[in-house]
Amino acid sequence: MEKNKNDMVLQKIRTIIGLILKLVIVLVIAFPFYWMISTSFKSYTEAMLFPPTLFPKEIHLENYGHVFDTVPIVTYFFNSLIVSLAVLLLQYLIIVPAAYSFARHDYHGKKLFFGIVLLGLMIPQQITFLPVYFMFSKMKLLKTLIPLIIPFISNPFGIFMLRQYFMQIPQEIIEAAKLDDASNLKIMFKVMMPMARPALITIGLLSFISTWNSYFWPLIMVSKESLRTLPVGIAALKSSETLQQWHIIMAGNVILVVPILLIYLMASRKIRNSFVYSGIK
Amino acid sequence: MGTIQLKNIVKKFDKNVVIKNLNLQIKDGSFTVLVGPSGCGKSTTLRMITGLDEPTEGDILIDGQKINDLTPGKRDIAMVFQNYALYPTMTVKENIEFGLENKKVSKEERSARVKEICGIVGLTDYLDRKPATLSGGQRQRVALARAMVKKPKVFLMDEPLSNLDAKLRGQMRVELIKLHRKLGTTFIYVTHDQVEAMSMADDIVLMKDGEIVQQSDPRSLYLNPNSIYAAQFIGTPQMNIISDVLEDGIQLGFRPEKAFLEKIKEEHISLDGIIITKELLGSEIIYSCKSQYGMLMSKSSLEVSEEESVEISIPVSSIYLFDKNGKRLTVDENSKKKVLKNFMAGAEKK
Amino acid sequence: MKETRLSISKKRDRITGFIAAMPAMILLFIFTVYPVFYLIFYSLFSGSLISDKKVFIGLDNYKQLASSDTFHQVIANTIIYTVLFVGLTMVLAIVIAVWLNNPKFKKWNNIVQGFIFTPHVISMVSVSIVFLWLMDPDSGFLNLIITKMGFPKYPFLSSPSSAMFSLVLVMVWKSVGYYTLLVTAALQSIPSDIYEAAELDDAPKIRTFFKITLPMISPTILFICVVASIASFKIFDSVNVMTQGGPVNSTNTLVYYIYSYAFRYGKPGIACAAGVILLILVCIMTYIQFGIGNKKVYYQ
Repeated sequence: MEKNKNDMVLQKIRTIIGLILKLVIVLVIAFPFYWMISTSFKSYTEAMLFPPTLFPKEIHLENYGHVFDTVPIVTYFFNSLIVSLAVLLLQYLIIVPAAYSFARHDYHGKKLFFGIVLLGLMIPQQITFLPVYFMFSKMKLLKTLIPLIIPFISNPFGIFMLRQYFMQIPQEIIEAAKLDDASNLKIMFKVMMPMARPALITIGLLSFISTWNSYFWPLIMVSKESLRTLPVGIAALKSSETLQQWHIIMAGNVILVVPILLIYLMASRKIRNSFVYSGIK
Repeated sequence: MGTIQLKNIVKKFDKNVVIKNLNLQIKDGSFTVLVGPSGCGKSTTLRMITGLDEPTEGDILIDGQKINDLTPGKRDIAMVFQNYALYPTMTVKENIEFGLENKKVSKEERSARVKEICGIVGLTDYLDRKPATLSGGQRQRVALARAMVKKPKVFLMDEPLSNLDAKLRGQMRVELIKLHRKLGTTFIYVTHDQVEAMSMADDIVLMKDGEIVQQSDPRSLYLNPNSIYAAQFIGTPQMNIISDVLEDGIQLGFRPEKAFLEKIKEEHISLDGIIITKELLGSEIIYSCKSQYGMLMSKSSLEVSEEESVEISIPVSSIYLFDKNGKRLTVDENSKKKVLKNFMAGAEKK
Repeated sequence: MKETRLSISKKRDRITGFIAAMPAMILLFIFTVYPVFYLIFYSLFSGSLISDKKVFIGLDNYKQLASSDTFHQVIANTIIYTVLFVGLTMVLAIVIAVWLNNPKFKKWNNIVQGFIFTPHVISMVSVSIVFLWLMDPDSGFLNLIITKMGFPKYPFLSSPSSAMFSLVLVMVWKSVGYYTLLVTAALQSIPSDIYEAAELDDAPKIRTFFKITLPMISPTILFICVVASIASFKIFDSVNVMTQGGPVNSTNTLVYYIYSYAFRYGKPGIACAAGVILLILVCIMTYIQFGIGNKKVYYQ
């Protein structure tokens, strides 16, 4: 029928336009990444060309070498790694008992304590940084990595989320375990933790990513160059002797981006779901 | 006018053939119920009539006009959803009017219609409320009103009573029957509940696995099922079926209502049994009896104690014969008596 | 009264619970609650705050801020940034989320969604550096495209009139994927039979969007707006890496101002006062956020 044919053609056109638009969006997002990588392989002169070239004429891997020469990037990398892992692991030690106690224990002051957690969720680091800086300065800890770790291991979002998870575990399971004469510790490790695994993974992923990427806090707390984290170090690339040496700066940037990108590629759906959960709360 | 016709409908979901070859005729002004277990294709069929799903092959016609290419909004039909699907951010009045606004009906006409409909369903006091503040029964009436106000050719309903409590369900059943009588429009109603189907329908379409098993009025379906499936779908408890006794795989069936625990005058067959359980239903009692043919159910107003031996008498006229595939065998009286004689002879041998 | 075994174990339960929460509470108190009081307290002083040489000056720091043109501009900049960012992001996020919600193209849509989310997981420093380069007024790639399309070169970060907008663009690029995801989650909470009822009511797609979809997700949208606003008040990374507050203070925002006065101009008292102002703003926004958060769900 005539009507059907026209409709089908219209449908096909719409689909194609839709696909093209989606491709445009993907390009807009992907291009800066591509530009970063391609610049990192160009020579200085080629990088500074205007109009710029899309593809590097030759691949200059030595740009990466220059990065290693200009700044102690390996140190920076390990500082970031140490801090991120330390926060990740120590955090579990602190928030799991706290979340558990909020979910399944009753005691005086519980409401007050939980209020403090809510406050922690609301008060951002942009407000606490100055007093905390003075605190660490007085304690002479500014020459260590401690200021980058300790303030973050009582992650209020983590406590909040874990508490939700623990609360959702049906009372009957715990009662059955108690009837099986399991100690409280055993209940926690063999029953509750496995059930809360998704929450623990989510908290871990979000915490690692945010600690690795953080710039503001490490910039302020750490002045010693050997203790800088990667974002701070790479940002400094911009203003040191490598001013306007975009090919080298981009190489450093690639080093900063790749670890997180790898993690994202491996767990993209999980990470996206984690962010959605934290956004809607 | 609201005659519906489905011709040679095939429906596939990806590679899965859900409906093989459906041919269905729905009479104008009837209250037709599509009934069957989950997955039998009744909702799919309903949705194809609405246009929310498209048939893979085949035609759908209303009053002889092919409507396959019409969008749901242009088919002059209305539907009441199982979960009502009311627009939560609009008031009751806005919910009801929404369809009329889209058809560019004038403001005066809209007000008049809304007033009329609300009078019929009893929603006049709730016009400015939002669905969240209404009870289940009230929401259901809003859904009805929204459908009615469009004055469609056909009303479609997808298990509209299943979310109501039992008492309300009973009330609404009566309301819907009254409504149908008043409006005279074709009603197509989907349910899995055979009681609902039997009590409301002019015409029942019993479905299984995407096919129509039997289409007839409730009385005929009850008295003249065309298969064991149809026979056992209607009636509680199910029809008793005795198999593996007669030759050629012929199966024998009779309803518990016709399994008498006392002597009867008409021509009958007798089976011995022992009462195992009793379920008191008020005016009647459901007995499960153990016999040499397995467990048989009887529905009677007689009082018998458990573990008592009984003689179950079934009138010959109430016995149905089915072939080995479950298809109903219509035989004349003499042949039937012959078969039953063989049956009783086989019984004594055992 | 003899203590029963049950009551002893209940008591033990209470003590265990209390002790389990203690470490977290101590840390939270030291690093979140206490600093707020410290901040308010020291906003009333001047001089080096850590030493004993600090001088109590009452509300003088606040008076100074109130009369400072720079601070006025800082507040204005922060508000402009917030309005631009939230406005642009929400429109884009809603449009993209609705567009990508079509179940027909689920596979492609998921890929696109995953893609546009990627900038959100990498560091703002990385994003800032790349865009600093892309927006270079002389050799930046963006100006290549602009000039190729026939327009004059855009000054981006080098001019006071365009610098703020450029910063907003960078942040939009980074976070639009995240906000789109949040809107998508809201869209998916709408039961499909409501759309079907609208189809049967012969509603055109646009009317369905404005009269049904949008009202149903509006509490979530509002909630997301507040979240995005709070995030906007806190920007620092892109300012420090890309513009350092310039040119001519056009991108000087609140947190950057606080940072500058604390560490570069050696006036921590002023920094604390400005910090208190930020705190008040955040508190107001958070209060609104919690208020809206409670109104989000419709009947099931």
